[in-house]
Amino acid sequence: MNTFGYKMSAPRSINMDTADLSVAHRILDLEPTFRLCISCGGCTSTCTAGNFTEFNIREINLLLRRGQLDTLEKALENCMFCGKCYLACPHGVNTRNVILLMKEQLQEWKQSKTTTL
Amino acid sequence: MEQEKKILVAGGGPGGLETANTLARMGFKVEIVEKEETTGGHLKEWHQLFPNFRDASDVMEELRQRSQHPNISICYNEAILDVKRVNGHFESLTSKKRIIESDAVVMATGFDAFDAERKEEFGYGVYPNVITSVELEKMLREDGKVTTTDGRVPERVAIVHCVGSRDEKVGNFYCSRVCCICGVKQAIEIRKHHPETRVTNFYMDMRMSGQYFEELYRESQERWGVYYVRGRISEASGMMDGKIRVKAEDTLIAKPVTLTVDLLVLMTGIEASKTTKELSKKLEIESDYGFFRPRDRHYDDQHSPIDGIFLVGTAKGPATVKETLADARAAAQRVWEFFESKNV
Repeated sequence: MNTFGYKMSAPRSINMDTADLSVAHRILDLEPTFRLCISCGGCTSTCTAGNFTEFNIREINLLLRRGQLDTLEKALENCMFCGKCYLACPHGVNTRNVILLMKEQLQEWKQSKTTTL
Repeated sequence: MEQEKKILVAGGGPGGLETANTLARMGFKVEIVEKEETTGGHLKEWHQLFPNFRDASDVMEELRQRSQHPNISICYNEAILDVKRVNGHFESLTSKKRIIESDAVVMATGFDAFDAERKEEFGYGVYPNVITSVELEKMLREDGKVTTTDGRVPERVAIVHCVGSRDEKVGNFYCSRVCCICGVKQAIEIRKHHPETRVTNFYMDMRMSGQYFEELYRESQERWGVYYVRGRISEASGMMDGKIRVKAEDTLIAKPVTLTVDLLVLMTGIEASKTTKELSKKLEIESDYGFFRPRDRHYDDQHSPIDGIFLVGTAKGPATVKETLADARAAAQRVWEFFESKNV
């Protein structure tokens, strides 16, 4: 069998033109403090889950705002809702509520996708 | 040209001194009221200035020499408590219960360094080897030797940026502007004196806002090998041996990092001084965070909303020494214009 040839790789880049930001907008409206994140990483630094798993609470903000919802959903499974991140945040972002909202809104978003299909 | 007007300058730091010096040369009689034993304000706590490592004492000396002017009198250990406008002139009450009469008042009441104990997670006041940038500067000024509390040269030092700045938890949304470059400067100074010491700066954003600041930041990496980690330290813990263990996220790698250091230096931000806060509130010319409010930020930045009360330097918000000196000369010009317009 001939194994020689070209392979197509899907582009790694995030396409901001087609990114679905509807969930992001809804969550930013429901928890306006989330707009204040400056990506300092104080939350990740103190996060118990983040010190033992791949979970990165700072990054989920960006995943959401770039419409990376599939990656986001998986990441959220690691959060234990301890709320330490909320204490560390210099901008008073209610990170705990943000995670909760993400879980809820992602469920709704998935349901709306299946119903329209 | 001799003027008959008398100006009261509240505060004898760089802003107050330079305003007084310029006014005196214009011919005005000036009385400086300084709350401490000597003039100079925070400048006298400093060793060298960014970005060119000019000796602070050199700048200080120049200011003091110029203030040896027959038109200038200086009162020490005295603070202005209140200013009242009476029949077109001012009567100011001092802490020595004196009333000073003047035709105009210049508020050069400056700033206080942020009280680092308010950010409990950094352990200032709890762990002896957690110090502020002001305390590091004191070591540099005294003999240049940077040491831990037990007198050792530290193997590792971490510098924390934005302590008390950009921080909603302490009510300071603003950026203090000068700490970034000060952190770079102090990192270089540690490396100069102790080439074996590793210095790591933890920052959220490096804001090199002034001329030659970016060049110094570059030099710190190129020539002095200063390490930079983009991430805010979330907590500092004291170890049994007196070292400090810090936790942050290296946000560019997206992983938590820990680092054990012998000395942790907190870049405390600029806050309105106690006097600035009290006077701006009392006179109802306060802006955000207790700083004074100018009447027009572009065209009348040195005049307060009250006719005849002028504002200089860090009493209005974070500023460098250079900016404060320029502002002081502008304020003197505004004072002169104020009386000119009255003569017409």
